[in-house]
Amino acid sequence: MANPHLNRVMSFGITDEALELVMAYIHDPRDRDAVSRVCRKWYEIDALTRKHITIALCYTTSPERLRRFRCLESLKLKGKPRAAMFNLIPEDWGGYAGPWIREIAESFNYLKALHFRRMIVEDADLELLARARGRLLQVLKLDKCSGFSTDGLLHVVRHCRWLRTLVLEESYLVERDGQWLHELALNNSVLETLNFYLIDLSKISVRDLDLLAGNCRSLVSVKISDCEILDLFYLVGFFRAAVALEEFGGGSFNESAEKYSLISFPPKLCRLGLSYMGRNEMSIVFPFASQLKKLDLLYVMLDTEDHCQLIQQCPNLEILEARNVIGDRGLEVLAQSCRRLKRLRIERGADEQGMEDEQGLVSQRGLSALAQGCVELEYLAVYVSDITNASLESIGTYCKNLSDFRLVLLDREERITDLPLDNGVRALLRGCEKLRRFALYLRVGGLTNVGLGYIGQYSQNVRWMLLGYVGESDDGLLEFSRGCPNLQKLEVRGCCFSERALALAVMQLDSLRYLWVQGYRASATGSDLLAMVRPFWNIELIPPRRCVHIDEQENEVVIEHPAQILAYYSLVGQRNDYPETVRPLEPFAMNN
Amino acid sequence: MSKAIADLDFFGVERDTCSKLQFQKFLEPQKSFRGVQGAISKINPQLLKNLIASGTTFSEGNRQEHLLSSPSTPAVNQNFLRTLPVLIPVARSTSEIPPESAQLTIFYNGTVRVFDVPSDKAEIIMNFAQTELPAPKLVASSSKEAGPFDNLSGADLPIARKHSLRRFLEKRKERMTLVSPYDLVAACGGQEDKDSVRS
Repeated sequence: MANPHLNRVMSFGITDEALELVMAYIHDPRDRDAVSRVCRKWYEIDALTRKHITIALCYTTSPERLRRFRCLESLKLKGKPRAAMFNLIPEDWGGYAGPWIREIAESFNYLKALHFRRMIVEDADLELLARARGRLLQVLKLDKCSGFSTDGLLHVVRHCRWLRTLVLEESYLVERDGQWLHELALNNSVLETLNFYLIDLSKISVRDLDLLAGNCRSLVSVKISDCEILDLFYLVGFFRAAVALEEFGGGSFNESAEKYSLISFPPKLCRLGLSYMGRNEMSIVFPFASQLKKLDLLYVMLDTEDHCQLIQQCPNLEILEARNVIGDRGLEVLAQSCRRLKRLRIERGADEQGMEDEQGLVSQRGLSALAQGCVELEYLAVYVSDITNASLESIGTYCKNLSDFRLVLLDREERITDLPLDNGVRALLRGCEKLRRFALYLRVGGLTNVGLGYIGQYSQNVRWMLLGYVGESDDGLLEFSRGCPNLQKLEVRGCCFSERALALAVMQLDSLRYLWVQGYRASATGSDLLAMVRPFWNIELIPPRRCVHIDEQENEVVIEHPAQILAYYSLVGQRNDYPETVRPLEPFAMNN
Repeated sequence: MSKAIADLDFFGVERDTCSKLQFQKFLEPQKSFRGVQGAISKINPQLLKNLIASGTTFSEGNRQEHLLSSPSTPAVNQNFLRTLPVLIPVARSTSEIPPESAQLTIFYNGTVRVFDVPSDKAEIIMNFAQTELPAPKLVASSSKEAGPFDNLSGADLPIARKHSLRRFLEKRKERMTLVSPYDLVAACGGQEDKDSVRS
C-alpha cells in the first residue's frame, strides 16, 4: 500500500508534473527499470512516460502485461531464436504477431513505431493493424518475418499514409503482384526509408520506383530486391529523381558494362551495396568512393584484387561487409586506407572449388594488420581459415573500443597454425574491456577447459555469447559458469557437454535469462535437464529432425538437425502455441 | 521446537558462499542493485505479504533463518546474493488427519509458489526434493555418462550458413551457369593470371 509519507520523502517534494518532465529524459531501459521500482508513484509515472519497449523474446511476457505502458510510442518484438537466421529452427516454431497486434489495436493509442523481428505475421494481422493504427503509424519493420503476402502490404500502404519507414528486409512473403508498391508511390509523400532487400519480389514495376522518388522528396534510404527487372540500368530515372538519397542497396547487373556509365548517382549517396556488381561495373562507384561511409560487398562478384582496388579509394569508410574473398590482402589494404573503420563483418563465401578467388581466405595475417590499423573498431565479425594466439592478442592490444567480437574458424583446413587459443582469447577479453557481445566458434581442440575458464573469468561485461566447439569436458563448462557475471543470453553449439552439466551451469550463471543449445550429449528423455527446473523458467526441446529438401539439381538432400534445448525466463508460464516439432519440458510429466 | 513465526532468509544474508563476489558487489552498488533487481522481480509482493502475515509452521529438521523486516534497506541490498532453496511444507495442523488437499508452499531462489496437493503427493515431492539436494561442490560427470545418446553427436554438426548468404550463393551459381555453363571460374570474375601466391 502506498505510504504517503514515504512518497513525499522519495519525491523530495517534487511535483508529479516535474517528475514527468524529468523522466522524459531517461531512456536507458535499465535506468527506467530502476526508476520504476522506487515507489508506487514513480512506477506509475514511469508507466505513463515510457516511450519505447523492446521485448527480446515475445514469450517472456504477454500483450496484456504491456498495457502497463499505455502511452507507448514504439515497440520492438522478437520471436524466433537467432538460430532461425541459419535455418536451424522449424518454420512453425512460433512467434506469432497476431496476439500483439490485437492488443495494439485495442489499447495503444499512441503507437507510432512497430518492429517485428523473426515473427510470423499474417495478412489479417496487417489489415487489423493498418485499420486500427494506420493514421499514426510512422515506422513499420517486418524484419525477417514470414506468413504474409503482398495483399497484407496493400492494407498497410492504403491506411498508413504517414509511413516514414517501411522495412521488409529478408522477410518471406508470397508475392501476388506489384500493386502495393504502386499504391505506396501514389499515397505517400513523406516516405524516408523503403527496404525490401534480400526478398524475391519480381512483379515490381520500375516505374513505381520512379514515381515514389518523385513524390517523396525526403527519400533517404532505399534497398530493393535483386531481381532482373530491377537492373540498375532501368533505375537511371530513379537515381535522378531521388535527390536526397543517402543509402542504396540491391538492384542487379545484367547488361553490358558500358551501359552503366550513364547512371548518375545522387549527390549525397554515402551508403551503398550493389548486388552482382562485377569488376567491369565497379568503376561506376569510383567518382564518389571517397565519400562512402558504408559499403556492402556481401553480394558482389569481385575477387580479392578488385576488393583491394575499391577499398583503397574509400578513406572515410566506417562500415564494411564483405565475404572472405576480401582475403588477407584486402584486410591489409583496409588497415592502411580505412583508419576510421568502426564495423567490419566478413562472411563465409562459397566452399566449392573455383567459386571464389583462391586468395580469398582470411587468417591471422589479415587480422593482425587490421587490429593495428583500424583501432576504432567497435564491431568485428569474421570467418577465418587459420588463426593464431598472437593475432587475438593484437586485437586485445589495439582495439580498445571493441564491443562486439565474433570469430568463426572454418573447417576446410585440416591443420590450424596455433591451437588451442586459450592465451589469445584471454588476452583479447582482458584487453577489450568494453566487450558486450562475444562469439567464438572453433573446433575440437580449439579451446581447452582452461581456456573456457578464462572466458568465464574475463568477460565481466559480456551479455550475449555464442560458443561453438569449445572446451573439452563438463569441467570446462562448470568452470566457465562460475564467471560471466552479466551473461544474459547464451548460445552453445557443437560442444561435448552433458545435459547435467548444462543444467548445473544454468543454475550458476546469475544473470542468465536465455539459453539455446544444439549439439550436446543428450539423453533419451532429457531427464538430466530437470536439474534446472525452477519457477518462471520455461524449457523447450526440439527433438532431432530429419528434413528432406530438393536442391537446384533436383536431388533429394537429407539434412539432419540434432536436438536443441531452448530455455528462458517468462512471466507468463509455458506458451500454448507449440507446433509438433517442439516439446515443452514438464517435470511431472516425466514420471508418467 | 521451532518458533511459531517463520524465519526465512529471503536474501541469503546468512549464507555468504562467495566473499569475493560480495566484496565486488559492495564496491559497485550499481551492480548489486541489478542483482537485487534480478531476484526481487520474481517475488510476488501480495503473496509474500499473505505468507508473512499468516505465519507458517515448521516440520522437523528444517533450518531456521532470520526474517528481515525491511527488505529494501540498502545494506541488505549490498549483501544480496543467491537466495536459498528452502522447501517448507505447510500443513494447517500436523496432528490432524490430512485433509483431501492442503497448501504446499515452496520458496525457491527468491520466488514463492503455493500449491494445493494431497498429502501423499506432498510426501512424494518432499522426498524428491530431499534426494536431489545439490552437492556442496559441483561435480562434473564428464566421462561417466552412460545411457543412450543421440546418434547425432556434436562432432557431426557442419557450420551453419546464414540464410541470406546461402540465398545469394545459390543465385550466383544460377547466374553463372546461365552465362557460361561449362566454365564457372571465368564467369566468377576470378583473376585470369593466377600466378600470385598466397603466403
